[in-house]
Amino acid sequence: MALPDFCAGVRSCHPSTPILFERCLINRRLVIGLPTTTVRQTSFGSRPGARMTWSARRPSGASSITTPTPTRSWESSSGKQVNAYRQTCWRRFLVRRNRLAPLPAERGGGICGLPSEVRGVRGEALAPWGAVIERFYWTDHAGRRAWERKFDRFEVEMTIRLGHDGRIRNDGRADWRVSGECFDGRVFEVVYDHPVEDDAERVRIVSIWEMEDRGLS
Amino acid sequence: MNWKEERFAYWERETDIAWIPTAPAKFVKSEKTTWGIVDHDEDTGEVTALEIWDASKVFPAEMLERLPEPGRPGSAKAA
Repeated sequence: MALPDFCAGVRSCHPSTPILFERCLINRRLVIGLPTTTVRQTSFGSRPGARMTWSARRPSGASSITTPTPTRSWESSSGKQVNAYRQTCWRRFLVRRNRLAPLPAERGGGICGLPSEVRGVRGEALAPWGAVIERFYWTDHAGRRAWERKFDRFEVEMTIRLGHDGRIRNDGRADWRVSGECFDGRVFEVVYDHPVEDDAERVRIVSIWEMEDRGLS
Repeated sequence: MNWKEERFAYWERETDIAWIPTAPAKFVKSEKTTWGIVDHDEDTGEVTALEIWDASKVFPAEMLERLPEPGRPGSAKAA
């Protein structure tokens, strides 16, 4: 089974395997998505009308990592029902993935969510960054910004985890920058230092801000 | 009142970021610049806060030292 083509501007980090991707990029924004077996069109974190829909099935035997019922639904521009599912068990899932255990053959034999250049020929990952980001240290300033702007810390941390291999060198304070989209549709950028004191599993979140909405196309 | 609910100018020594609120803010959008971030009121466009990176290179140390830490508003040095 191949994943269908996504609409323009959307690409999966792992388009070649049937296992469902957990992120894609829309105009360099990280959008997190995980369709499940019971959902034909699923989107996560995108806006109504964004047309970020896809059809896929969760491999048999895979445990659910999304909520059983949609947390948000809307009608796409093509008239189809689109459901958003809040993901659960992120940490366990991601750690398992990021530990770089090859997926079983029936799930594609690759490492879901990793770009092809970091996967070996047998699905063994060749992760250049090595360690999993396990610890997040929020500076007071970043904490205040998140609190004031009502950013969910967990979403921010997951954006860093998922976007770390596609991070951009920050031209200001802090080493790196990634962007993401809140579940409520707001787009944000977060800058962070990594590694922190030679600890590759730790990041220091320096600042976060909400970006201007530049649209999806 | 929780310290988080107060908006006050501060300088975070650890990251060398100065943050200066200039107007009340409820819904803001941020503009990234070469020197930091400008928060704008979403409706009026009014500047509501400035986040200045590498503040110690921009402001006199004597001034920065008088700003509190973000988490400890009472830590500002008395003049």
